[in-house]
Amino acid sequence: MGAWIKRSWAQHASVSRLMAVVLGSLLAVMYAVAALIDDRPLLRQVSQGVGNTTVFPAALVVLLVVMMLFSLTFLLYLNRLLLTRRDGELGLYRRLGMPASRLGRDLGGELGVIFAAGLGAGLLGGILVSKLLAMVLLRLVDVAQPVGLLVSPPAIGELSGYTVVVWLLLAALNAWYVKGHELLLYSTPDAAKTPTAPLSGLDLLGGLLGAVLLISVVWFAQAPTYWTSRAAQLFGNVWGLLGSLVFGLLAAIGGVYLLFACTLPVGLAKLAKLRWARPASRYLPLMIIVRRLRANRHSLWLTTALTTVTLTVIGGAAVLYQFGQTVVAQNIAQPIVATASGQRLVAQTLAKTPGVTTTPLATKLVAGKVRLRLRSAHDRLEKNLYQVIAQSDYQRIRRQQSQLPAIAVRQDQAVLLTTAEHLYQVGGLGGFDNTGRSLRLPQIGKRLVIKAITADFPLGSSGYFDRGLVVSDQQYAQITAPVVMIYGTHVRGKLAPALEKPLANSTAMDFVALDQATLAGSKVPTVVAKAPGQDYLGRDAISLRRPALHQMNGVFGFVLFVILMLGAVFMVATASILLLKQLAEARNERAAQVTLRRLGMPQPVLTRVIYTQIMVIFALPLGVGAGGAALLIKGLKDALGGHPSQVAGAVFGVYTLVYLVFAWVTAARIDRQARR
Amino acid sequence: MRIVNVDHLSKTYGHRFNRVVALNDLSFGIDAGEFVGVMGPSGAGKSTLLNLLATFDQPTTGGIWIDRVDLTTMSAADSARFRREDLGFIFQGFDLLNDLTVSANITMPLTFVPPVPTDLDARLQTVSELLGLTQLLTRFPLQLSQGQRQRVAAARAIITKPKLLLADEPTGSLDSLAATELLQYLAKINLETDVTIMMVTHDAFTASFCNRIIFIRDGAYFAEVTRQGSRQEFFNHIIDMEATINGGRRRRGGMDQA
Ligand SMILES: Nc1ncnc2c1ncn2[C@@H]1O[C@H](COP(=O)(O)OP(=O)(O)OP(=O)(O)O)[C@@H](O)[C@H]1O
Ligand SMILES: [Mg+2]
Repeated sequence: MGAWIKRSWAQHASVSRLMAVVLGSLLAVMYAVAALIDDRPLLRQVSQGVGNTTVFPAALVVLLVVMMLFSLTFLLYLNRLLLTRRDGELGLYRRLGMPASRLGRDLGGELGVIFAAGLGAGLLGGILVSKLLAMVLLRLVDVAQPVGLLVSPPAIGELSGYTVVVWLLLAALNAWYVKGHELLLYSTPDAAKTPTAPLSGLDLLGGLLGAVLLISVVWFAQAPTYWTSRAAQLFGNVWGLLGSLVFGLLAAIGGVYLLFACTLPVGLAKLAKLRWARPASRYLPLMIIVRRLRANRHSLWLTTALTTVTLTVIGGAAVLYQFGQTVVAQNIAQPIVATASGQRLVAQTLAKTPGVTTTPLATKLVAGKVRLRLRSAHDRLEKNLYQVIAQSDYQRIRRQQSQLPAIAVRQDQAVLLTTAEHLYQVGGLGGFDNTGRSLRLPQIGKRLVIKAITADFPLGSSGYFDRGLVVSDQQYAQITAPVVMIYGTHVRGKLAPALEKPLANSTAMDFVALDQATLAGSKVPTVVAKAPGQDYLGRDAISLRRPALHQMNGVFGFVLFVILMLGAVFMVATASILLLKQLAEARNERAAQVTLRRLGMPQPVLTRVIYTQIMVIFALPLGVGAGGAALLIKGLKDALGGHPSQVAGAVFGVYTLVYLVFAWVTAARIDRQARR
Repeated sequence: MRIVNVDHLSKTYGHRFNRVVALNDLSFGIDAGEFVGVMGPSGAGKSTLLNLLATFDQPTTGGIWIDRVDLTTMSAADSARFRREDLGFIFQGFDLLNDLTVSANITMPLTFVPPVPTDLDARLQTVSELLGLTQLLTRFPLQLSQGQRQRVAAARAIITKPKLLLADEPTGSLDSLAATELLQYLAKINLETDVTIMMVTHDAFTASFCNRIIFIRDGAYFAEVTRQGSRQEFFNHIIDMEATINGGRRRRGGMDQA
C-alpha cells in the first residue's frame, strides 16, 4: 500500500495537493468558528451590545453546521471529479487483475494520507487564523479587547472526528464505485476526448429560450415589486407572490444553464463564421471556448451559482451593515440630540466640559392632510403631525450636516421629510413619486405643494415625533402653532464615559396626543411629559449616537462576520472547481498546442490564444454571477431604502481582483507549459 | 535542383555520462520533385532526422539546407515562419484539432498570421478535391475513419504549397487498404503539385511508392535504392536491402559473441 500511495501521489500530485489544500482551508475556517463557540468569555463580550448572551453562540453553531454540511457536499463532488479523472488508470489495474477490494482499500489509504495532511494543515491554519477572526469579529461588533490564538481541545476533537467520518464515508463510496463497475465500463481515455455533438437546430432553440429567460429575469429584477403586485392582482396574493418568485428563480437557473450550453456556443459559432474571425488568433479561441462551454456547462453553471450566492451574501451583509450605520446617522445626526426637556440635563451634565457646541432648531407642530401613493398600493389620505422648519434654519443646519440634500422652496411649496421616503418614491418600471401632491394644514387653512420627499431630517429624525416639513421663511413666519425645540450637541473629542452614562440612562420622553380632533386641526397639539390617553406619539428626550451605533454594530457586525465566514467557504469551493477544470483542460489541450507550434504558429499568437480562452472561461461565471448578485443586492437596497453601498462595491472589486489574478496565474502556467 | 542538403549531420542526446548518438555524420541530398523514403531499423535515427529537418530540434554538429536556407542558424520565430510557409507535415498520430471541422483544420496554417489569403476557399476546394475530401469538409475529425483523418492531415500539409512535405510513418496506424489509398494520394500529390516528399517508414510496401529509398543504420548513411522498373521489383529490392541491414547487425552480433 505504501508503494501505491507513493506512486499515486507522484502521478496525481497536483490534484492530491489541491484536495489537501481545499480540505485544509475548509477545516481551518471551521476550526476557527468552533474555537469561537468554545470561548464563552469572548462571546459574552461580543454579545454585550445586544444584551442577550445565547443568540450569538447559537447562531455560530448553526453556521458551523451549515459549513460542515456544505464542506461534506463539496468534498463528495470533488472526490467524484477526481475519481472519474482516473477512470482509465483504475480500469487498467482492474484489467491487469488487481482485485476490486484491494484497489478500494488502496484508494482509501491514499485518501487517508490526503485527509491526514489536510487535517494537520487545517488545525494549524485554524489556530493561526482564529486570532485574526476573533479580532475581525470584535472590530465588527465594536468591542475593544485583546485576543490571543484560540487553542481549543474540544474544537480540535470535533474537527478531527468530522474529518475521520468524512474520510470513512468517501473511502466507502470509492470502494463501492470501484467494485460496482464492470471491467469494460471504465471509460477509456479516448472516450473522454469525444467532442460534444455539433450544434444543431435544437441548440439554436435552446439558445433563444435562454436569451429570452435571462432578459425576462433582468426585466423582472428591474421592478420586482411592480411585477409581483401585477401577479398578485392576477392570481391572488399568495399565488401571485409565490408564482412570480418561483418563476424568477427557475428562469434565472434555467437561463444561465442555457446561456452556457446553447446561447453563447451558438452565438460564438456564428461569430466564428464571419470574415473577421478568419485569423487563427480569433478563430481558435472562439472554437475552443465553444467546446469548453458545452463540455463544462455543469461546472460553469455551478461556479456561476456559487459566485452569485457568495457575492450576494457578502455584498448583502455589507449593505445591511452600512444600512445600520446610515440609519443611526439619519436618526441621530449629532453626537447628542435632545428635546427641550432633555436639553436641561444635557446642559447640566456638560456644564464643565470644554469644546461643547449646541445647535438649536425651532420647529412648529401642526397637523396636516395629504393624499399620497404608497409603494405598490393606491392613493391614501394620510393625516399626520408635521414639525415645520423654516428654509433658512434648514440651510443653517445643512452646513454642519452634509448629508442633507439642497432644498429651495417657493412660497407655496414644501419639502416633506419622512423616514419611509423609499416607499413614496419608486424608480424604474411602474415607478412613481408623490411630488406635486397638495398638503393641507387644516388648522391654519393653508395648502402647500410637495416639491420633494427626503429621509434626511435636520439634526436627525430622533428629534421629531413623526414627519417634518421645510417651508419658505415667509410661510414659516405666518404659521401660528406651538414651537417645539430640538438641540444638537457636539463635543470636541470623545465624551467621557462618566458623562455619557447619566445621559444614556435617561429614559425621559416627550409625548403628543394623536386624537381625531388634533389631526383634524380643531385642537392645538401640545407636548407633554407623560403618555396621554390612548393614541399618542413619543420621542426620546435625549438620544446619544455612540451607544446607538455600538448596538447597531453589535447586531449587524455579527451578521456580517457570519456571512464573511460562509463567503470564504464558498469562495474556496468556486476557486477549486475552476482550478480543477483548468488543470484537466490543460492536459487535454497539450497535444493541440504542440500541433499548432509544429505547424508554425508564432509563439505570440499561441500565447494570445491561450490567454484569451482562459480569461474568457474565468470571466464568464464571474461576470454572470456578479450580474445576478448585483440585481439581488439592488433589490435588497431598494427594499431597505438605503443609499448606494461603497462597501458592496468594494466586495465586488476584491472578489473580481482575486478571481482575475487567479485566472492570470492559471493562464501563465498553461502558457509556460505550452512553451516547453 | 537540390532542395534538401544534409551535410555531416550529427545529433547527440543526453549529457556527458549518458550520451546517445542518434545521428552520426550523416550526409545526403534530395532533388526537387523527388519522393524519397527513409528506412532503417528501429532506433536508427529516422525520427531524429525528420525532427531536425522539420526544425523541431537543433543538430549537434553539421548542417541542413532546405532550398538553400540554412536551418541551423534560424531563430525560433524564423523557424516558425519557415515551417508555416515552406514545410508541410504528416504524422503517424494525425495531429488534427478535434474542436475544428475538417475544413477549418485544413485551412488552419494559412490563418496563423494576417492577412488571411483571399483565395483561401479556392485553395481549400483544390486540395480537398485532390484528396477526395469534398464530402467531409463539415465533419469533425473524430467522426472520420483513420484513413480519412490522415488524408485531412495531408490536405492541411499541402494547402500552404510547401517546398517539402515531411511524413513520419504516415501509414503506421492504417490498415493495408487505407494505407494503399493514402500512398496513392501522396504519389498523386507528388506528381500533380510537384511537391517534394520525404517519408520515414519501416514498411517495405509503403516504401515501394517512393522513387528512392535512403537506408540509415546507427545514425549513419548505409545505402540507397532507386526505383527502376515496376513497383514489384522495387519492393523486392527494398526487402533485400532490409535483409542486408538486419543481417549485418546479426552478423556483427554473432561476431561479438565469438
Ligand atoms: N529525446 C531523446 N532523448 C534521448 N535519446 C533519444 C531521444 N530521442 C531519440 N533518442 C534515441 O536516439 C536514437 C534514435 O531514435 P529515433 O527515434 O530517431 O529512432 P527511429 O529510427 O525513429 O526508430 P523507430 O523506427 O523505432 O521509430 C534511439 O537510440 C533513441 O533511443
Ligand atoms: Mg521513429
